[in-house]
Amino acid sequence: MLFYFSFSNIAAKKLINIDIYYTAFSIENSIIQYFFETRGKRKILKAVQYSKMKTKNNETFYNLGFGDYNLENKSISDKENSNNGDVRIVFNTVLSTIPKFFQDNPDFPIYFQGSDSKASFEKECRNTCSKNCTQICKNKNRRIRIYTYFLDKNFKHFLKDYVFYGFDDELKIFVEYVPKNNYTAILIYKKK
Amino acid sequence: MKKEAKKINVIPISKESKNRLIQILDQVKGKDLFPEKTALAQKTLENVKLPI
Repeated sequence: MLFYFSFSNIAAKKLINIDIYYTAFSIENSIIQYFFETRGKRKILKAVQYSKMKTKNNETFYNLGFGDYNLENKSISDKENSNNGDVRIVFNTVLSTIPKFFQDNPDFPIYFQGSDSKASFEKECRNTCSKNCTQICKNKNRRIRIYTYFLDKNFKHFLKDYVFYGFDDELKIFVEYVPKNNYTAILIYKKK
Repeated sequence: MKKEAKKINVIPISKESKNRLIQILDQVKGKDLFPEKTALAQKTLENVKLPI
């Protein structure tokens, strides 16, 4: 089956093929879930989840979660790296759910924050990590750095369809997203 | 600068694999699989006003 990203340029001269995995989809209790199975070195079940949430001001947003699904204990691990040799396909598969999400929910933003961006992460990491980081914990905010690296590289392209805000952890506010700045979370709106 | 189009190719899987995925999804649908992450988002955005 072939289709186009909503942000693709129809009048294009150069065509880039992007492979994604087949995803199964469900929506219930305001929770939108996508499951797919990766075919890298190992078969790994992955889950993408958009959970409807509200701020204290009653503003609605959807929290984006992504991780490996463990069939045995029926839970997610979003703390490890699979190193399964298919990161690009996995990443593209996760990204492919964003236009689908906005098709059904154009009025609500997507919020993404890595599990390694919580305040207690550095302390927990230093207890178990073998890297012996001196001043700055290299693992802290690692996931959001991966996502923003990709976003920065394709920023102009994405701006056609989306509006981005970064979370300034010191000021505790969302600010207009500027590529290469550091943020601990991002918020994505669909342009109208 | 060359313009680029991205054509998405869904890697085909067997009918059995599709059914298996659907079965697994049926068991968890509507259940929050990321309780730690939703709690973290709730805490981070507790007193934050969204920009739009």
